[in-house]
Amino acid sequence: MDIGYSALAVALVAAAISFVSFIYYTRKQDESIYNFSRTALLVQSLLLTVAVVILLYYFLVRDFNVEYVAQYSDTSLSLAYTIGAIWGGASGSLLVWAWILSLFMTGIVLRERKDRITGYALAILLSVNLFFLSLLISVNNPFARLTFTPEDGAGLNPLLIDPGMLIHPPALFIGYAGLTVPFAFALAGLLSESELWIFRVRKWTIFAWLFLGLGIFLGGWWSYTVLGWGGYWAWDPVENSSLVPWLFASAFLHSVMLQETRRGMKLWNVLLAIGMFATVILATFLTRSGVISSVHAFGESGIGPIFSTYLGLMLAVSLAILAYKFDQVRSMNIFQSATGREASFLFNNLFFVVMAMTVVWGTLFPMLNEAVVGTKISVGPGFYNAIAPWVLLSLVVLMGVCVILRWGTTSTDELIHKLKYPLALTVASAPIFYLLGFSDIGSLIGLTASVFAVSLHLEDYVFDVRDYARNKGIRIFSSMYRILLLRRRRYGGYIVHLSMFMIFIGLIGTTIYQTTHTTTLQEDMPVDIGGYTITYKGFSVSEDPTQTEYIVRLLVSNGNGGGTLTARIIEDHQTQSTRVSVGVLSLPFEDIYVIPESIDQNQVSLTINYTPLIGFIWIGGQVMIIGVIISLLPKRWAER
Amino acid sequence: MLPVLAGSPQLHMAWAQANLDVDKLAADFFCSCGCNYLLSVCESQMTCSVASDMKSELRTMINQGMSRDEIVDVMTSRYGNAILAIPPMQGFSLALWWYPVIGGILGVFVITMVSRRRSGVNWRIDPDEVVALNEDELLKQIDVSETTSKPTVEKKYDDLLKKKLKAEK
Repeated sequence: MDIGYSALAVALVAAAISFVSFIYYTRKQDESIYNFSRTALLVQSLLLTVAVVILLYYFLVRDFNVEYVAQYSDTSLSLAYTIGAIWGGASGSLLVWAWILSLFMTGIVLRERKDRITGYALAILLSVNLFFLSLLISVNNPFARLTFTPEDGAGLNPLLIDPGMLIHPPALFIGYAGLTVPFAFALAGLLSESELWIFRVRKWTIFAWLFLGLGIFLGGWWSYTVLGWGGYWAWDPVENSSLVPWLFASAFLHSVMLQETRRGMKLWNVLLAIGMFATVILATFLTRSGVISSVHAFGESGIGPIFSTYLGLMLAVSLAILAYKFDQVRSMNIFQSATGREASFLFNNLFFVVMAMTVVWGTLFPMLNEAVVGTKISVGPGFYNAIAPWVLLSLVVLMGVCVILRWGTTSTDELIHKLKYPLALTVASAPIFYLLGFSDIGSLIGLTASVFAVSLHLEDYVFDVRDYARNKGIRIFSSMYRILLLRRRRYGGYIVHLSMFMIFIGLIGTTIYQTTHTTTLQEDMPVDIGGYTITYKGFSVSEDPTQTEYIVRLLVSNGNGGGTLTARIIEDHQTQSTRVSVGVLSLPFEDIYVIPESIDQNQVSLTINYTPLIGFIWIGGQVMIIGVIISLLPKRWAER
Repeated sequence: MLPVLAGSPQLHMAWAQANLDVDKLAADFFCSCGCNYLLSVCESQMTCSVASDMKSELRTMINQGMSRDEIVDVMTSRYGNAILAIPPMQGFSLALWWYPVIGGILGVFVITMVSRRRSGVNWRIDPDEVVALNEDELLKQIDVSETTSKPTVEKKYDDLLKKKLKAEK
């Protein structure tokens, strides 16, 4: 028997023992039972690590007798992509997911208090990993061997040979696995009849939320900079299915505060936690089953029906536990006044959840339509683009307003005091944006709403810094960073808000002001297109046994600057297909984005997009990371 | 008029009709080759030759002075409804479009109901303080019952209230 497979099989046994033992612990509450369960859990994690290392070893030594290695790599694959090929198919992806989940469990078992909540939470997480491990040792065995050893493997899908492949899938896996944690803690809270779960789960959820967000973000960046899938986001079913749990988690991260402050929203928080995990499983089902047409067709495998069954089962068990322990989610009232922060959180949850459910609905609707009406339809970007802008605009305004609302109630005087300068700035900004060329009314509303929201955040910070400096008798500069660290949960959140405003501004620029030009250029003949002079400088050919690359060079300039960009047409000899790799020249406020279509002796046909403000999206993503790091800073670092 | 403002599909379509342009129109159809890309994307991706043929058909129809609706009719009769990137607001597809609206209205209704219940609102702890406390300190400050044997504080209150109401009856 293969050593990797043996590691998986023993990991399954260890997980089963640990699962049973943790359940036993929750009955007996004997520390020695907890310690035994913990040891079994750590053995499971160790064995999964061993399995991942062994699979990696098979990839590195090109052991094509292993079916998975032969399917997703070949001798021409570079070291980095050979490592990335581990998640090139369903079996390896499942293994990595199970491994990451085991690392989360290890973190929990080492960090959290030994009590019934942790015991139940780990048992639930182990039950999820038992499902994955069962798949790995049966229908999705990454260590299955062929009856012969091919000389070379089939190779990785050429679309996946890109740096994006090295970071986008693992970030998503961390996000997906991580969102299992709030689900497990929510059920553990019900079963152990303790509300402590809500305080414990925050850090794990933020961590998973960040990585899922990064995964989505990196997918957008990959799609935009390389694949040329019509931009960074195409509302493709697989993209949608990763967005939904992120939206649920965004709602959850706000609504937990209502339970912390007011002992309310208990049922809602449990439902959101179940929703997060259910949609993670749904995402896997949609990606792997291919029931709904997607451009991510390379993710398809035969495990769709298993995941749909698991989804149904998991939902039934979770809801049964919720019904059984329903007295645990009886909430206290949360609402004191319409001008309380609680009200803004309720609306924030409404927007996130309506958007999430709309995306689920739009994604599944073609399937439903076929079942009910019998005809095939598609739900493309037009549907989501008709709804998303309204939700985003509402969220931006709400994010602005919520920072000046106090918990409980805010007096009218205080509201006026805090609103007057930001409102004046907002009104004043409209003509400036108009003069800068943002003449579209939709963009003007969006940009001024962003100014409103950003200025309210900055004002709140300025007032806070000033008051803290006065109270403590310290200098303003010192107060500026001390307050940031002291109220790191709030300001970490505010920085994440700022990142969202930046992304919103980027979305306005790219959706409203992107212009497209289709043209044919002659070599060394400058042509003025949309304010830029573009000169085709010929092409070079780069050939290797697997592919021929035609590298098109363009010179771009306008009064303020410019540069050179290259785009590629790639003929893949193995798949007998042609694909393109787009060329992007990033200027401070605009990208010049070129998709080559065909090249001739001395002319090239291409599509040129001018995409204003897209840089805001990429910078926004990085600011989001900073915000999350600040909000997760441990006490001993932040409060020295 | 662009998507941020063109909230409804009718507006979107009205805008499209007034500005028929083959590149923009190509974004309203999926390619029929099975690639799942929009026509505009599939053509630039060079994943098939179908996209350029379909785009030529669109160009011909625009040059013949056909309206967007007429072009949509011709294209769907040739390739089926599945090539439409924006489902029409008719028949069963109405369920698609009304869903978010109904969801939003329901949500506002629920929030209104929640906002009416204002009795006995209690303060527990500021979220900013939560991160500044370790679990022991937190447990000293707040009530989170951890064992099944002890009822939660709220349950105690509920039970007392029930008894009181019963006695009053």
